[in-house]
Amino acid sequence: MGGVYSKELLQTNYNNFGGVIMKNVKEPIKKPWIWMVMIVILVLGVPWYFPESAVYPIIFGFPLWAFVSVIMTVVLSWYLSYLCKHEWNIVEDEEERQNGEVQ
Amino acid sequence: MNDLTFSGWSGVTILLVYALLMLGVGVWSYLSDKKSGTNIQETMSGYYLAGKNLGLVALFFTLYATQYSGNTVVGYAASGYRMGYAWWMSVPYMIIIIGGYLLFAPRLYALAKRHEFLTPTDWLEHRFNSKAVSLLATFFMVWGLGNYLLEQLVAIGQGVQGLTAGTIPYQYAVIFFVIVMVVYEWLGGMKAVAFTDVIQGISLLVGLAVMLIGGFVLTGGHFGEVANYIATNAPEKIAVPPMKVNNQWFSMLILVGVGAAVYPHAIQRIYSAKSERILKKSLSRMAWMPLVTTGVVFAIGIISIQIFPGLDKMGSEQLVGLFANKVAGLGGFYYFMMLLLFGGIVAAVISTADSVLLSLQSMVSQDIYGRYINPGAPDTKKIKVGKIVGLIVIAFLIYIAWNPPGTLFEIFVLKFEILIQIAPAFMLGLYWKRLSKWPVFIGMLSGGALAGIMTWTGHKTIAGWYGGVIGLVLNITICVIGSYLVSMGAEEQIKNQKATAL
Repeated sequence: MGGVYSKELLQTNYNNFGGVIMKNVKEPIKKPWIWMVMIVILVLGVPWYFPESAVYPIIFGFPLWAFVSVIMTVVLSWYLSYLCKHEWNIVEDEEERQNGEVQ
Repeated sequence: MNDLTFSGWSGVTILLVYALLMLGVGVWSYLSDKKSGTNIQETMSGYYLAGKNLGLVALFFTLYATQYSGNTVVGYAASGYRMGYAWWMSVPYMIIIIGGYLLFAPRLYALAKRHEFLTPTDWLEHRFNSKAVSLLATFFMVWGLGNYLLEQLVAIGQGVQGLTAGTIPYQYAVIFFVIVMVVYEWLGGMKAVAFTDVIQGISLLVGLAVMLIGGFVLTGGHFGEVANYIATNAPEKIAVPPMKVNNQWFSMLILVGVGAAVYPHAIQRIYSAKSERILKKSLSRMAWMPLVTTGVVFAIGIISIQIFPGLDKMGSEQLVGLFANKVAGLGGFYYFMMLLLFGGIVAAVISTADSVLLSLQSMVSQDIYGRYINPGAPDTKKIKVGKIVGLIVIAFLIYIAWNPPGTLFEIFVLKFEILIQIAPAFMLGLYWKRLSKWPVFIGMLSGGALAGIMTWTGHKTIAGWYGGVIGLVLNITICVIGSYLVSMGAEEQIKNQKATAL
C-alpha cells in the first residue's frame, strides 16, 4: 500500500479545525527556545554551582544560595504563566467566535 | 497532633460543618442539574467531566485542590524541618508541573474536544489503536490511582483523629468521610467534585496564610534571625546542598513535572475545561500557587527548627499539629483560624481522594466495562457500574488500610513511579507520527518494571536519581529506538498524522 501517496501529501499540515483554517496558531512545543529557556531557568535554580561559602550573606532569611534559588523560582512562575497566556493559542479564536455567535 | 489546645469537640464541630457544606454542594449540583436539564446523571461526559463545561473558578480550584493534598501540608512541613533550606525544591517542582502541562495539554485539549475523549485511555486508543497499549496503560493507571486513594484514606483517618484528639477514632473518621464523599460524588459527579474543591481550596489557602502570620508573630517577626539561629545550631540545614541532594532536586523536577501533569485526574481536568481560554488562564494562575502553598509550608518547617529544636523523625511528623497548637495559643482569632486550617487539611485530603475516585470510576465505566465487557451499554448503565465498582474498590482499600499486609506491602506504595510511565505515549505520541504501538507497550512495561523492582528492593534512588525517572528514561529510549527499528508504512504514518493533527 505504501508509496501511493505523494511526498507533498505526507507533509501536509492538517491545521484544519471544524472546517475553518486557523491563523495565528501558537503551540509551545513548536518553539525550541521556549524549552531551552525553561531548562536554563531550572538548572540555575538548583544550587549545584555554589562554593561552600555561599551561605553568607543571609538575605531576607535565606542563605545566598537559597536566595538565588528563590529568585529563579519566581522567574519560573512568571515564565510559565507568560507562556500559558501568550504562547498558546490553538482553538481559542474559533471557540470564542462560536461562543460570541451563540450569545 | 495530640493535645491540641483546640482539639476535641470544637474540632468535631468544624468537621461536621465541612461535611455538611460538601453534602450541600452535592445536593445543589443534583438539583441545579435537574432544573437546567444538563443531564449530569445521564451522560458519561456529564457525570465524569461536568459536561466539559467547567468555568474559571471551578477549574482553577479543582486543579489546585486536586494537586495539593493534606499530605502536602503535614508531610512537607516535616521534610522542611528535617532537610532545612534544601527543601525549597518542593516549590519549583510543584511549579514545573505547569511546564509538564505545556508539553501536551494545548494539543490534547483541542483533540479531546474534537474527538470527545473521556479518559486518558481514549487518547491512547485513538492514537495507537492497540488493545495491548490501552489495557496496560489502564492497568497502570488503576493501580497507581488505587494506591493513591489508599494513601488519602489513611491520611483522612490520621488527620481527623489528630484534629479531634482521638474524640473521633481513626476508623469512624474514614468511614464517615468516605460516605460523605461518595454521596456528593454520586449526586453531582465531576461538577460536585469541582465545586467542593472551591471550598476546600479556599480554606486551605486561608488557613496557611494565617499559620504563616502566626509563625512570624511567634518568632518576633524576624525570619533573618531564624536563619542565624540555624547557621549556629544546625549548620547542615543551611549549608550549600551536596551533589547527591542537588541530583535529587533535579530528578524531582523531572519526576513531578512530568508525572503530576499526566496524572489521570489531571488529564481529565484538561478535558473538562469549558474553553481553551479558561484552561490557559487556570494554568497560568496555577504557576504561582506553589509559592503560596508549598512555599508557606517550607517556611513553617524552617521556622519550626528554631521553635521546636531537636525533634526526631517521628516527632517532626507531628510538626504541623505542634505549630498550629502554638499559633492557636496566640488568642481567639488565631484559634479560630487554626480550627479552619485543620478542617481545611482534612478537606484537602478529601478533595484529592474524590478526584482520584472519580477518575478511577471513569476508567472502569469507559475503558473496562464500556470498551470490553458491554460496549453497547447505555451511558446510565456504564455510570452505575463505575459507581458500584468504585464502592467495592474503596471497601477493599479500607480493609487494606486497617489490615496492612505484612509482606508485599510495597505494591501498595507504587504510585508516581508507574503513573509516569504513560507520559511518553502522550508527550511523544501527540507529535511524532513514527511512534508505534509495540515500542510504546514494551517501553511502558519495562519502565514500570524497573521502577517497581527498584522500589521493592529498597533502592528508591541511585545517586539521588529516583527509580521512576530511571524507568522513564528506559521507557523513552525503548520508545524512540524501537520506533525507528519498526518499519511503518506511509499509510500508517498518514493515519497517525491525521490522528494528531490540529
